Amino acid sequence: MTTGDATQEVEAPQEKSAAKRGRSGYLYTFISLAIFFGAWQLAVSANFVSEFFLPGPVPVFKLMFEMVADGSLFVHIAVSLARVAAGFLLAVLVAIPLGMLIGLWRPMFHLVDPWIELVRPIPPIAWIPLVIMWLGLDEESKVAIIMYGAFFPIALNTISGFHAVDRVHIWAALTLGVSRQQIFWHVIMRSALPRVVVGLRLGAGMAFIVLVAAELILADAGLGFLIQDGRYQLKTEQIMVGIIVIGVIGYFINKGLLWLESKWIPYRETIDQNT
Amino acid sequence: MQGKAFMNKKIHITGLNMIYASDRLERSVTALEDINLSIATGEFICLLGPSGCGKTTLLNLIAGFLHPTSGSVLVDGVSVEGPGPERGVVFQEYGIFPWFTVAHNIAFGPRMRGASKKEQAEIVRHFVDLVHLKGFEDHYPGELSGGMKQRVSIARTLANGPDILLMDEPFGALDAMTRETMQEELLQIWQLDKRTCIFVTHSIAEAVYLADRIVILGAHPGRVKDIVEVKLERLRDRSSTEYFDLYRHVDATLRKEMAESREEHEEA
Repeated sequence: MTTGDATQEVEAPQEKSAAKRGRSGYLYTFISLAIFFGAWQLAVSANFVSEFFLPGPVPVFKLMFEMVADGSLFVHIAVSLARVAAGFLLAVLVAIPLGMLIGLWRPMFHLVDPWIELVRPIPPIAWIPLVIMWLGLDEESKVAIIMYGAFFPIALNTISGFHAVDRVHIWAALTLGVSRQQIFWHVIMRSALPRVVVGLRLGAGMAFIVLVAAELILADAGLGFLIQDGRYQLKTEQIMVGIIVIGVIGYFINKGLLWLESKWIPYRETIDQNT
Repeated sequence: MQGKAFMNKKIHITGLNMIYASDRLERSVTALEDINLSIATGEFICLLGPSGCGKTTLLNLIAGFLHPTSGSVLVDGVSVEGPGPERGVVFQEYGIFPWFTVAHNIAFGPRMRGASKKEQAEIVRHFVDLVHLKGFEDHYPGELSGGMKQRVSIARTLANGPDILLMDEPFGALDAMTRETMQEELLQIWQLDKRTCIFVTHSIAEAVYLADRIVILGAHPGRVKDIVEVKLERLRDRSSTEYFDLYRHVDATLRKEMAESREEHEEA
């Protein structure tokens, strides 16, 4: 069984470099940003591309500040985050119990795993027509799409977490005279927890990624709507504001979840090299 | 019915057979064949043999992780039906819990049995001292070296107060220098209260250094080939003539056995 996409596995080194990044690291970040915005501005000023296809940083940020000033940007953010939160929480409620059951009970694994592997490659966007037919055009369909996206990372990591409980830890607990119930709480649950938490983080990230697709379904607010609406009205700046805000919020959500993870699992960095 | 000699034996193994059914090859593998062995209270036994001789299987049967195909393992006259706290196990791959600190690992057994915070702190203090891990109480296992992890594992097992110590190649993953230090420390701890100890190893030097008796096992199927008594005074001098003589003797026995088993294998 594959326990995660390549994209889900690449995060460990990034984490480490973030931890080790000192003052000079921030300097490089600053330089990198300056080069990016400089190049962007230059491309526009030199008329490399027309303003219609790529507006410069100035009109984009001007629009962003206007939307901050009139509060409309915050409404879009709040609406989107509420959808992400609802979809994510529903995914957690289904994926964790199901993942536990599959991870701990072999027959369940053989029953369900083929379906997970079959359905997983279907992108959320492919479900949109059906979901609209089944759930209509309101919030339910958007939340369902987000839930679908968040479900797999959480379920797969939960399965692998419970699957990978080391026999030697259970044996060790048994020779210490520990009861079965205590083994469940202090060995099996503890052993699976780091993986489950990784699943939650990746699931939250995925919920946010799927958001734009979900908001392709008729929406009158939200960051995905901002992008869609910009497209229909040929307002390229608005599209770019949506993209930038999504990127920035996604960045901070990931940072926040990494921070939470390091609080919950203080030994996280060290589990791989140790049984 | 079996007389006094039986009564003062801590562990009594009779007619033990262990056959693994291997469904893939549609044939079974005899891991252990007709093992008979009695171990006295306070004895330090080394199970020595080449890989595939079933020494770990034998230890796992005594620990109760496995059930024999036939025959019995009696501890204090009672048949082993499963793992229990009177038989503490130290695993080669440590088996300590990475999600607990050193202190939590050591106090885990007593804590699960409802020891008070004060008792736990006392236990941790005592055993951390015993295995020379002072100052590392709040470290997680992932931050420790292999030798230190194994010290935690030994401390955790001892803190649970077992009667019998079962050790499955506990120093197998350590470098040679650390290994010798750990052997000395283990003996010093063992000499404090002389718990019955069964220690699996494939190192002749380790067996000669540690054991009261070395049980030499042969492979395919696993059988007791010879039992060598080591009467040298502890702590043993690794460079003494007596030590070397014994080493050579055990080495010769093991080589002879391996050659024989190879021939048998080829005939079969």
